[in-house]
Amino acid sequence: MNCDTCQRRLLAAENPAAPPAPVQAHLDGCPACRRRQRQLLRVERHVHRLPVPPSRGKAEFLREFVGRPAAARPAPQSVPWWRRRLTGRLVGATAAAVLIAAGIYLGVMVSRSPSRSDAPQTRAPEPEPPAQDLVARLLDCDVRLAEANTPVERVRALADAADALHRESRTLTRADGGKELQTLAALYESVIQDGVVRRAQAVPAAERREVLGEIAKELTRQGQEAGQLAKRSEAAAEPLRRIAEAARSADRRLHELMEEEAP
Amino acid sequence: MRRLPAVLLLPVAMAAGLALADPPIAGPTPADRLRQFQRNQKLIGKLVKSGLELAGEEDPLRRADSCNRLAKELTQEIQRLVAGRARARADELGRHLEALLVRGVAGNLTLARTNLPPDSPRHPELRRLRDEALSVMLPLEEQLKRVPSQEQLQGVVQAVTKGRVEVERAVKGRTGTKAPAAGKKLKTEPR
Repeated sequence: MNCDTCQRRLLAAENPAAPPAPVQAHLDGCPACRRRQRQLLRVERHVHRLPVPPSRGKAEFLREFVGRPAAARPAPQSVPWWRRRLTGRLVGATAAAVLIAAGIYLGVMVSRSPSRSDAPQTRAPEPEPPAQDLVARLLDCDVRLAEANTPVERVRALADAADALHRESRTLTRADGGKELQTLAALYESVIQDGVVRRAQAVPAAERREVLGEIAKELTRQGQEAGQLAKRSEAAAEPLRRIAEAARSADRRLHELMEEEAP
Repeated sequence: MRRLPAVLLLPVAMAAGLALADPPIAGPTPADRLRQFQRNQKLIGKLVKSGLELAGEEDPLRRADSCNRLAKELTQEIQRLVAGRARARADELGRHLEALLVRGVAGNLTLARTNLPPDSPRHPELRRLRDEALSVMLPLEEQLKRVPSQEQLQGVVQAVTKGRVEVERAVKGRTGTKAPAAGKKLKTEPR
């Protein structure tokens, strides 16, 4: 994963403080992106402090709106006509400003929430990185693998490759790509079995809980999501079930490795 | 106060518009991605295969060899895109080609050169891998020369330029020797 993708995914994440495993893996090795994450968290923390224009005419506005009896209102003749008009405009403008701000806030919150039509029941999928298609993500993983010096770096890069393939399976399910999903499921299985699980065995016992725990969590999510998609899409059910099974079986194996005693 | 309904409707309309709009980051549709997958299926398979190979390989020269094979596949894909005038995509892949050549090929060649003893029998292999990397780029370099305007292909141009310099430097060491022009035949110097 490169910095651009990482920062986009941080911006798109519901909770930038706990980003998905691949993003976290990148953050672990990239001070610039960690700085950007801290900035983002600071903005999120302080956004509620943004000043909202004070509404001095709230009471008067409400009286006007609900329509109090004329007798109860202050004598209109005591205020010059131009001041009454100005006050009315001020009240209207303030109320409109507050409502527009609330409207924009609501709109942004709703549009930031995950896709309404195809979100799984338990956990919504994250938005896909638009510029980084599968080829770009796999290339990125291959370059990381080409310069990896430790088993931890290798297993993290392979987990990212599996994540890229899993995300593509969601897209292909939406596009009814049944035949292509079969290919993708086979690739996912090989990355999981011959890549992640195999290389996880070389991770030093002292680091297993942290590194493999993070990957296992991601695999649990991928397995659940593929399983749910398989239930909803008959045409793509078989390859999606294969993906779900591969993720679940790798998840179990990683937990076994985490339990193993240090030699 | 006659304007009040309009004033109240405005934020509601804005909220509705924003809420119903597509996700803020526009991207290709699932159908586009399916077509892209179909087009790149062979390359995707090779990327997965080489990733698994690289994950199991400790030897820097063999890693550089894997990266060379991958660079060849990628170069062919970029050539196809340049010929088909899909320049934005070619440019995007060009940036990945640069990473592959600089970090994958040159990085591993540098590592091998610094670790090999001066009398190692593997020095010819090191130079052969450098020559292969340079020859992988040649067809793309030739094609780029024929493209009238390279404005949208800066990523590709930079990939081949920087890739060539770094691959040569990886074998020579940082002696400051000027890289030959793209496409020019290289002199293989013995170490």
